[in-house]
Amino acid sequence: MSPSEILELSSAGLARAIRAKEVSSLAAMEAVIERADSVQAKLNCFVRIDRDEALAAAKLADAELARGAVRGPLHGVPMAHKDMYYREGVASSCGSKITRDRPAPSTATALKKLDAAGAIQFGVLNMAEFAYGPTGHNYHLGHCRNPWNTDCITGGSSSGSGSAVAARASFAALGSDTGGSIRAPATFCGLAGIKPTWSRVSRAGAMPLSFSMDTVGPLTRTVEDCALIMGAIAGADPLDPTASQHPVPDYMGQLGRGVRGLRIGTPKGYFYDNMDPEIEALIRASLEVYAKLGAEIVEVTLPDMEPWSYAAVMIIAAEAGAAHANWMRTRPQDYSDQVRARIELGMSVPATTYIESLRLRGIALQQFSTAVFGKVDVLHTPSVNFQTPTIAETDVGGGTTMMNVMNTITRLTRPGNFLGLPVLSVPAGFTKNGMPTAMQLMGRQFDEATLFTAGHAYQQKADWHTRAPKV
Amino acid sequence: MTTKHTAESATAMLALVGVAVDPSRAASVADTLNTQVTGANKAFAALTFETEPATYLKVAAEEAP
Repeated sequence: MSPSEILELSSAGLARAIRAKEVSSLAAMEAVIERADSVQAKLNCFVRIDRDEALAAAKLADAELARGAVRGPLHGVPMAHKDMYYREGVASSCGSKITRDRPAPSTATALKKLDAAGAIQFGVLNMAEFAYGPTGHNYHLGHCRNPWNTDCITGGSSSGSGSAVAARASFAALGSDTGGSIRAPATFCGLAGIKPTWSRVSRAGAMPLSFSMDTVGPLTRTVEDCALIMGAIAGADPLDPTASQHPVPDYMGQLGRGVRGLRIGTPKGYFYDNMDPEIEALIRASLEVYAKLGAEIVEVTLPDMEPWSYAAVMIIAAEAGAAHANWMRTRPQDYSDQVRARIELGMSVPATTYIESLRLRGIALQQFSTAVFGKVDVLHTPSVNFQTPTIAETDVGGGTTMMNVMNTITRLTRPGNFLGLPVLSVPAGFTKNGMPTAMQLMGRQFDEATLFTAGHAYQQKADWHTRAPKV
Repeated sequence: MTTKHTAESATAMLALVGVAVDPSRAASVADTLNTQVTGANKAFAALTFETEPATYLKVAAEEAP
């Protein structure tokens, strides 16, 4: 298999090819590192590539396989991750100036689980400063660029994850999602990405932003890859008391169930407010695919979600403000203007407003679940209501329009975090200017399996995910 | 009548928690705070005295109804 053929494989496809000895882990590692080197100058998606260690690990994986030892379902698959998952003794920049020289005391559970599944980490990826930005701008590391059009934003905060995986410079990547930070780059870069149920994946060793909203999940080429990686990283963890004990289903085993008879909801209001007509046409077309596959499409009337959206902003801001309070007192000059301004806001949120926002979540979840999951199994929505903007258009710094821009970008993704529900972003087509867009599939708590089934069924009929950007 | 934050009051509030606001951004902090808090306040009428803040986290962390 040639390097370019290897790079077109999904993570699941590569894992199968390695196990079948059709391709070696070393060949895959050499191909992906060469690709990473070749796109870095244009995309700025990598913070660091650990070439020698990764090549040695790939050789070891091949030697293990030769004697019949398979570590797990991702044996020998190269991956790079958002630079906020700690590895013992190694500094994680977290996209910032502040932590870039601070070695981590221990390794993130998500990384340990990927290691145990056989994946090989070969580098770390650009991200928004402290994961607090939805565009992909980074004033310390340089802005990350979209491989479909380098003038456009990647989305953030998992900007490097979106850019690198789309550019075939990593087979998959971990991101994190507090208000849309996996789904925005998945949408703008043409990838699958899952924000799991809150507590589904351990956050031990992952940089915190907003403890009651943060989630860990992958960005991948296919929905099948999302299912495969989630199967590896989900589950209880003694190092994270908030990680759920809820059993982890066999996501891969349920992937082929199909959607015949599945009730898919399409919402009236909120998600289609101020919608770009071209995006709306693509999203409606994706719903038609489900109808043809035998799903039952049901219109759903949502509760008034507008105030929840504000409450979500208050929670993220206040929790981020608390997380950063000490550095804001001692090193404020080391933040970019934008992140500093957002944290200043968070430190100004009245305690009662924050607590009222938290109190609202139980009520909101109940109202939403009754309105939606009382009628359907999955809610189908757009991920964004606008076309991909340029880096220049969204370069708003910390000024007066900043919060409006930030909140507009995450308007359709933020409710999933507020409600704690699992949401899968799936590529749903390209606008006339050649940029990808995506639908969201939102499910019941801990029902990621149904989302993967639905997303996979769509990808058997639509080929958007097979298209690669020319970088 | 609703009293809103000004650049001066936002600066004073952040000073209380030990943070010095860049004067060029103080008005923006106040404006954003006013807008966002006011927006969120509309939802709080749904809350009862007994609503517990931990309910959501407990439900989300374990069994969903």
